[in-house]
This record gives sequence, structure tokens and C-alpha cells, in this order.
Amino acid sequence: MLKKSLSRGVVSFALCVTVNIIVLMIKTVNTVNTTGNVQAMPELVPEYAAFFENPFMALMVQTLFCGLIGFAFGCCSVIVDIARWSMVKQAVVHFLLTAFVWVPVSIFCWGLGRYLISFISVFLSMVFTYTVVWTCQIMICRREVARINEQLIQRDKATS
Amino acid sequence: MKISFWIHEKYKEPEIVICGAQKTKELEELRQTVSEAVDETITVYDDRDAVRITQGGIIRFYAARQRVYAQTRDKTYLVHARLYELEESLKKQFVRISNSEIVNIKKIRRMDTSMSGTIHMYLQADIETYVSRRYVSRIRDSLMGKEFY
Repeated sequence: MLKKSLSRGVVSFALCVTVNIIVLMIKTVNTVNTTGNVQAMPELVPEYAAFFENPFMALMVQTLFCGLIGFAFGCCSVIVDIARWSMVKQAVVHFLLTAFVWVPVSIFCWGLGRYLISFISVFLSMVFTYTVVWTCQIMICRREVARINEQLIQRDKATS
Repeated sequence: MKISFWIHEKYKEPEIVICGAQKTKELEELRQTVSEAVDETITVYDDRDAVRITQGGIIRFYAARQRVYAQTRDKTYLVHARLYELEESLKKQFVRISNSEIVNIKKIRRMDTSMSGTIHMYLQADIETYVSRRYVSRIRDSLMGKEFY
């Protein structure tokens, strides 16, 4: 399971970095078109940018941090394969393990902790998303299990 | 000895019936021969002895403590193969239900889900196990007779 987790993490890291670079390119082109400044770059949170000598380095490090978030989500996807755990337990553990990564990254890169209300709203939106996704999955599972039990009853009738 | 076919739509699966005036040793040997001819066998290990058992008698294969075991109604045997190798070689009568378990479809009694979303599978011989939700659709397809590997 560890090997599968790490391989998924690496794939997710690469995917997140790629997507982030594409988004940065689009934002850069948009900024250049908007401002007319060919050297313009996407905006950064000032407190984060202050850690770096130049904004390009700050953007690249931010891209790597996005990849790190993707790595965490990719690695934690194997939690779904632990059959003995209930879906609720899987959701809670997945949420806590990934939050351990995305919360500090978000605070550092995008100033999430600057305003308490923003932190609470992001946290609650993640909890809501998890609740909706896992509720849907439980409902789908129950429907599938009911269909399987119907098949088993028909099979038992046919063989008896 | 007469050998004949009885074709009727009520027989969802092929069935072999041995008819005789009384159950004799000869008929029992005939049953054994037909069973071995129809059911594929697999080599498993009981302590240190190698034993050949029919696949139809196996309820499930499961991985534990870095080993693979085959469980029948009466005993549990060690198998010298990985689960993915078994999955490739076994008849379509077997279906994977989690990363660490393959079960015999014919030995499934029922399934249910708990309030918290744990998926239980109840097998013959009062065996209870867990199903990963990734494999639920595969179980459904195998019961409906769809080929998936």
C-alpha cells in the first residue's frame, strides 16, 4: 500500500505542478494584456513575496507547494482502499491528513490565517464538500448493495 | 452406462445428475471422477503437506501477515501465490472484493452496509468480511455474468 500511495502521490504532484504552471501562464498573459507591461507577473500576497528576492522565485516555490498539496491528496487516496474502515472514518482521516498539508501551505502562500472569518469559511466549505461527496458515495453504495442482494436472492431461487 | 442430455430452460447452470438404484462405491467414485474433471483444482499447503483441492470448495482467498491463505468450509490452507496471480488464473467464479481478498461468488450469502458506511459481506460457513467500495460494481457485474477480466 505504501508503494501505491507514493506512486499516486508522485503522479498527483506532477499533475498539480503542470496545471499550476498552465494557470500561471494564462494569468501572466492576461496581466500583460491588461496592464500593457510585458514584464508584469501575477500578483502575490505581499507577506509571502517578502520572503524572496524576486517574484519569479516566489511563483516557482508557490508552484512547488501546489504540487505538495497534490502529492498529499494523491497519497491519501489509498485510504479509500482500506475496506475495514467505514466511509465516515475514511473521510475524517483523509480530511485530517490532507489538511495537515494544505492548511500550512495556504497560510504561508496565500495568507489564509490573516482573517479568522476567511479561515473559518474555507474550513467549513471543505467540510461541506467532504460531507456531500461521502454522503453521495454512501447512497450509491447502498443502492449497489441492494441490487447485489437482489441478484443473490434470484440466484438462490434458481438453484433451490 | 447410458449418457443423455436433459435440456430445459429451468437449468440456469449446467447440472450433472448420477442416477442409480442405490448409492454404491462405484457411483461414489464416478462422482469423484466427474467432480475432478469439472472443477479445476489448485495446490495449497496444509502445514507442510501439499494438497490439491477443488476451486469450487474454496470460499475465499485472503492475504494476512504477508501470506496468502485459501479458506474452505473446514480448513484454512496456505497458498504459494500472490493475490494478483490468483486473480489472473482463477475462473470467473471468483471476484476480488478488496486489496487483500478474493471470494468465490457462489459462496456469497448476502451483503449489507452499516450506518457509517462499512460494507459487510457474509459468506458461507459464517464467514464475515469487508468489501472495498471500489470493488462493489465489480461484484455486481460478476453476479450478472459480465466478463471483466
